[in-house]
Amino acid sequence: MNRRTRGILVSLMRYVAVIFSALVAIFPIYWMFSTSIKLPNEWVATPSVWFPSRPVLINYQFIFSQAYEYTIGRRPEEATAFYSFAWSSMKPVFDSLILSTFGTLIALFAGTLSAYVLSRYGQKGAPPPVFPLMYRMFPPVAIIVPVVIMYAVLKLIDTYLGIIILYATLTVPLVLWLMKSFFDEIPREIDEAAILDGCSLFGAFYKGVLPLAKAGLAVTGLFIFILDWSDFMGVLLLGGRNVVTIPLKLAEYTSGHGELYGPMAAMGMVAVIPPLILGILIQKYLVRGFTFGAIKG
Amino acid sequence: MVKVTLQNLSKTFGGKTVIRDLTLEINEQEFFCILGYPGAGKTTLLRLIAGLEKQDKGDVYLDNKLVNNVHASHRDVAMIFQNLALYPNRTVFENMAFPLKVRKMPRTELRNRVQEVAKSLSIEHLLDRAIANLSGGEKQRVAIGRALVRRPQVFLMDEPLSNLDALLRLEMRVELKRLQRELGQTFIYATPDQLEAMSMGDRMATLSEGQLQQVDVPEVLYNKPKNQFVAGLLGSPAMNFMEGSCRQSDGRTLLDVGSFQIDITRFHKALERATGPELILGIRPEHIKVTRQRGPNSTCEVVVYVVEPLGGEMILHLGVDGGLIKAFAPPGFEAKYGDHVSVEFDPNRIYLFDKKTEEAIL
Repeated sequence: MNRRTRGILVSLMRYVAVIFSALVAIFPIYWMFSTSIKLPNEWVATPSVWFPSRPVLINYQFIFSQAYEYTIGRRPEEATAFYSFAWSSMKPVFDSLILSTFGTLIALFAGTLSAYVLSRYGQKGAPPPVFPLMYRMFPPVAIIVPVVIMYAVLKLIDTYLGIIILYATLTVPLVLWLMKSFFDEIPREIDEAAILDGCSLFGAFYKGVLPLAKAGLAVTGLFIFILDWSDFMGVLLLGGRNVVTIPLKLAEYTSGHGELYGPMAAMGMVAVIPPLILGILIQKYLVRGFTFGAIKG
Repeated sequence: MVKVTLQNLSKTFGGKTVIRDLTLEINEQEFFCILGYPGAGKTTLLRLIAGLEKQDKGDVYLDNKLVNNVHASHRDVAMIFQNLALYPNRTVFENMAFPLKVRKMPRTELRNRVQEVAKSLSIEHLLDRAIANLSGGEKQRVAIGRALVRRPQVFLMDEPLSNLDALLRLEMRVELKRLQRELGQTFIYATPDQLEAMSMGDRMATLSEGQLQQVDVPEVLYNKPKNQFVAGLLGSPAMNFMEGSCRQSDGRTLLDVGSFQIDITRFHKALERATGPELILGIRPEHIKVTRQRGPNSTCEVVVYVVEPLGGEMILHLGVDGGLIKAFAPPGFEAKYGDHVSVEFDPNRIYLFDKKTEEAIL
């Protein structure tokens, strides 16, 4: 075998490996998508249905209508007529968006400010404080019980404010750790130059350092948003009636009416959209952010 | 264009004294250099003047006004950091305009001011470039420009040329000096490089372990060092030191260095200041005459250890009494390892230091 054929073979094998890993990564998403357009009898058929015999939208229609009974057995044409769009069905999506957005913003605001202070005014070379991470060392169930009791007293159960506060407090320590490592990599002289240029202490942070930590802020924001977006435990125990998020709605599809895999997959597809849009918006920061600071590796 | 006065300044960091009871007056329009080894406290001194650190004791005056409690952002002092601290996310123009923007200067005035300064530093063509795409020298100019646009009262520079290559450093040295003359501003310049300090400073201070050793014009520091530290700091190669002890013989005073003796009778008066007979003899390499043959005035015979040709001149490392001294060889002098040559110390250019106190006694 000469050098050239060997080179071709090596690159061929490389492509095969890349394509294989890409397939492995994409397959679950494909399965979710295909299930979301399958008819009920194909959801869990044996042998598996790899490609829907007849793509339909009834699963989407179901989740966005007021219907509570899935019309198994009806012909798709009938089903389509049965389900009509209702704004109230969008509630889980809106609730998830409101809670995750405000939870993320508050955590970013508080966490970034404290991270900056710890980075600049903390003891030089001291390790970042561990105690804010204490929450994270317990299983969520362990801390949620006292939280439920506190919330009951404060009348915060099943309120937006209550869950936003919960999300913000649980994620602030992560923001603090991530942002501190970003700030630590920005030389102190930048702050000092800004101060000598006439900035106040806050001005040095806001105009001098923060613009340099934009990538870190974007990545941290996305990370926290996804955490809040996928929370189930918090909203299960503290919400339910007034506050219903996408993960909670998803759980509904398993009970009572049997396992509604189609609507689950459809809701899953909907749930992917906001983080995806966010990811695309901050794409130019992502690579830099992921290869810099604490998220690295 | 102001006078900077420091009075009994002290600063400790975690129990370590960095600046020790330092009193210093820097005149207006002066190019003042602070020379010292790394860790001598130069940066801390500049930061105290700028207000980035707060002194434990003592006072800082700018223009005869006490500024102890004035925040760094209001002291109107510009500092050029060793790593320059340019804002890497902004263009050259934005970097230079930043201090003016913070001061809310109107747009057109701001633009004109930046243009004018950029022109004087010949970086006009770079204004729209990103900082990352500049060379070291260009970044240096931008950092100076950012300080200049504000027209501050005092310029502080912390080893600003240390990241440049040797050739560029020479160029920038001249340029900074020219700039300071044109602006007529007070410059305070910290450096570990004695050549920089000597060539640029109107006056200079030598700093060691947070204490001022000697403050004067460079020539005085060079010719009349106050102590052994200052003598050893200035000059390249550094001054040679040899230990010896005083001895009386036939009414003359001799300094016995070991393999040779030097008559120091004529320094009789000065010698009374010494705390003991143990002295240190100092002589600069340029004041040693190297000859192949022993002459009537030769001080001693030595062995050549290392020859360092520098083109125009040549430095010889010579073995004396188990130690090495350095000397400049005359042009055309040929020597190689192991040669025996003679040296003659210029009797008018020798220095004597007390061994115990290290103070100069001449």
